[in-house]
Amino acid sequence: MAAELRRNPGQWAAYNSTGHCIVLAGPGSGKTKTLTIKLARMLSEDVDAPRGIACITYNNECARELEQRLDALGVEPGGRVFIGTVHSFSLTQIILPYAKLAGLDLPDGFRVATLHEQRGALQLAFERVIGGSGNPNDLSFSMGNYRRSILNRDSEQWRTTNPQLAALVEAYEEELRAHNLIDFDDMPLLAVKALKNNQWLQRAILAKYPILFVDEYQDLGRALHSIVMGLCFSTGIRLFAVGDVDQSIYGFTGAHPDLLQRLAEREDVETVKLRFNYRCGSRIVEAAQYALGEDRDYQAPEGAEEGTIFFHPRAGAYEQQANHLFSTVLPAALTRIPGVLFGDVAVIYCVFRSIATGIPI
Amino acid sequence: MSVYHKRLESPSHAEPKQNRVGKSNLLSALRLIFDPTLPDSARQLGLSDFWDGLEEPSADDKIIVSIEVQEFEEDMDILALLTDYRLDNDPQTVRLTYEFRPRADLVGNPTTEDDYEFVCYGGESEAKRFGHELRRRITMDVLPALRDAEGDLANWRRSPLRPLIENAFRDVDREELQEISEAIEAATSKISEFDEVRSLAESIGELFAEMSGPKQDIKPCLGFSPTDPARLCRNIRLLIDEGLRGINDASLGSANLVFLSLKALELRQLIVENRRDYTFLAIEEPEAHLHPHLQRSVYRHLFESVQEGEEGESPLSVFLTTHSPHIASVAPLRSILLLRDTPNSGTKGCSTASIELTEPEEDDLSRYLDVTRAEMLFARGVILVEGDAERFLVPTFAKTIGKPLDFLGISVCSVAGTNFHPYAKFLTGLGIPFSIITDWDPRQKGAPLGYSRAGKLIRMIEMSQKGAVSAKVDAAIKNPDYDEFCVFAEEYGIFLNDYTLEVDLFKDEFGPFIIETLREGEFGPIRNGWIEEWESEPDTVDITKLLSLVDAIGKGRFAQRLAARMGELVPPAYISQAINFVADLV
Repeated sequence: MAAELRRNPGQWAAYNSTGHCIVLAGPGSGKTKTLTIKLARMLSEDVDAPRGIACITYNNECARELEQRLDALGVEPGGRVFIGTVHSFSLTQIILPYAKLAGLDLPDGFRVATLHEQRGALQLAFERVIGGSGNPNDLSFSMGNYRRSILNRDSEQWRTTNPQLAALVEAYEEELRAHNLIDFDDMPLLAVKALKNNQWLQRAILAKYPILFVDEYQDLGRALHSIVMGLCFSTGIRLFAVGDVDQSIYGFTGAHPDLLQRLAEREDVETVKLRFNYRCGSRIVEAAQYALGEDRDYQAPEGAEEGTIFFHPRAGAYEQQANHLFSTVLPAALTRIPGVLFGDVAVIYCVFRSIATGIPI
Repeated sequence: MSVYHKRLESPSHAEPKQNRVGKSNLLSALRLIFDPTLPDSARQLGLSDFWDGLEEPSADDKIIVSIEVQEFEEDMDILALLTDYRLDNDPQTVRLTYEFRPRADLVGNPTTEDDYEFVCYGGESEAKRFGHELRRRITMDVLPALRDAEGDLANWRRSPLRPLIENAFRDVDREELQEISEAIEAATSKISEFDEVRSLAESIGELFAEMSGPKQDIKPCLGFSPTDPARLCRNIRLLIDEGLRGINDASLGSANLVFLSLKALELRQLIVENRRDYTFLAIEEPEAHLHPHLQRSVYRHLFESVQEGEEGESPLSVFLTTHSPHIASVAPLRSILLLRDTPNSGTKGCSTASIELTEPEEDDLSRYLDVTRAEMLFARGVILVEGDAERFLVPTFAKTIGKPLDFLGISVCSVAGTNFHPYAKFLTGLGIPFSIITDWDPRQKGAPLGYSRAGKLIRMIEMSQKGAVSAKVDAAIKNPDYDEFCVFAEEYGIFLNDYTLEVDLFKDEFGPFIIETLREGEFGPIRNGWIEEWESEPDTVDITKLLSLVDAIGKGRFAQRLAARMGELVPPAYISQAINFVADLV
């Protein structure tokens, strides 16, 4: 397998990296393949039992895909290798084993709140902090964002940016605790708190997982970034992170692609760019950079197909454009590529006045 | 890494025991937690494993074995294995627990062994189970007491030689093995060229075939060893006397020693190959079949190698359970755990690690605990005396007053001088009952030496037992009334005479025997003159001259001769009291 990486200088450099390594990878650049092969190599060459490697992914689906790929390389999950989301890492590696010891002030026998219970807690918090006839669920989104974005509760920033949201978050968490509950957003936040307050815990994670892999770094948010900064750049865990600043599709959940960019610019990190796009034709790769408005130096490998780009200039209002899209452009595209269904197509539409968003079909 | 079970601190532990206080129990308990060779069926204990003092185990009775570990953060492998098992309120302590208890779903009292279950968990939450994953990296190896070293060495599967040989042969070229195998085959066929041998082999074969019938015929023949190259290494034997004889011809002692060396090598190999992170090696009664000199040299070496290790701290702890003063005498002072039977609460452990000793005191004691004095660790009670004279006389006196010391398990230990302090501290710490017989030693000027000596000892005993010296005790120590002081000192087991032993004896009806014994000195006319004079006028005895004669004969020799002579004469009161003080406590 490793021999396949040799033909691609970026992949090969990442495969041979010996310190912290950040892989900036465009779409279709073989980043997951690079990550899995490197992980298998480190597990056999760099980490001896009983120590292991932790690999953090964005969601459970990514975790499953990684598990399958590693399985094909003979690496079985469980035991020495942790593969999971930042939530499951926080919960199983930090909160559950050390809930009492790390001073997290969690009630005995706590569990994870259902959606219904979260709404209940929010309702109670809303009544306490804001009151009135508003719908507390309307605030759910901005409260979550506020909670994920400002980690330091003792800071001026937390208190003053939006005092009402700050108070709402605090009340909401109190309500959860009063019912022996934590929610998903709590998990990375509690992990950050536990690690920050307990030097020995950082060392314990280093003992278990001297190497930390992070996939889709751009989507993982501030809490994970804070965990990585502590564990990797002060405790001594070796980092291998993969991501794409341009691919962050989860901005609305508190992802900050700039964190990855800052990490990549550090001097104690070897940053590798995977330039070759194996998924798309050369013309599409080229066009993508125009669409980004930035030159990322992405290339299709030599001998790749050109790919075809269809331009449909269309003036008019949103409704007219949408109508044209569904009546003409899409049916034509679907007949060109047999087997593709509506569910496989994404439409990206630029709306200048608000946020750019994908419209799932 | 340190295991603080019963507050053991140093990496090697010698455990002197009186009989029947549960030395095997302690090891069995540790095995429940750490021994990977123990099957789960053995971890499922039985009703008979509950304490005898318990009439019938009820729903609340459990057997719990807990081990606490500290200093586990240095080695990353050990930290990775143990970190989840920290205590809820103390990140520096890890606890591993084995629990045998009535099944959770049981209603009412347990009646049969099927009503019980066992769990092994870490920290304070049962959800944190541990099992083989931990045990195969932090492991306990037990060499049992009555091991059949010869038998084990002869049996390939059990031999400690097997892993070593297999490892050595792993990288040997198969083709070269093939050559050896062919050479053996050639030698074997040469053997059967002798007519006598061939006919013997044939008759074995024929007889076997007749008895077994053709289906069961295993086709026996004679040869040196099976010639399959893969099995070749299994026929390698450990030879002694430069290859003349096999190990089964060696003495029991040598076989045991060989066994131990092989085991130690195997452990080293496992550690080097990173297949183990920590090993507890428990050797039961290591003195078995070993000559006293060998006991000392073998285990001194073992202790030293454990303590030093090649790269810093060695990942090996040794537990020895022993009755041998020879082994106790070479054990590091701080690594002794004493198990003692108590009347109502089973066996109690006292560790030397928790006794507060200054460095000079520790050095004194280490030097002091030679073979004869290490006996003190195995005693039920100890009488500390100043020198050889008391050491010879006290047992005789004890017999006279009907308290035979050997029978009671009391040892008389001489501190060779008057520095009782470290020994008294040591015995107090270990909870061994003791008394001290010491001289009053009056001086021309100033307070008698015995007065301040006893005062300091009382202070120390108070500090050790209560942590402070009360004003009342302080006043009693400073009491200028010597008689009252002496009575007070007796409460602490300190018994004083009026002068020194010999003088007190002379004045206490032992005069005639002392005169007789002094005559054996065959002194010149002047000194003989003194003896004559003291015989006719005992009151004229000159203490300084008397002691100079005793010294000339030698205090020890004088006491031995005197002891042989004095018969059933009742000893001076302070000696009787010192004997009774300890005898009443054991």
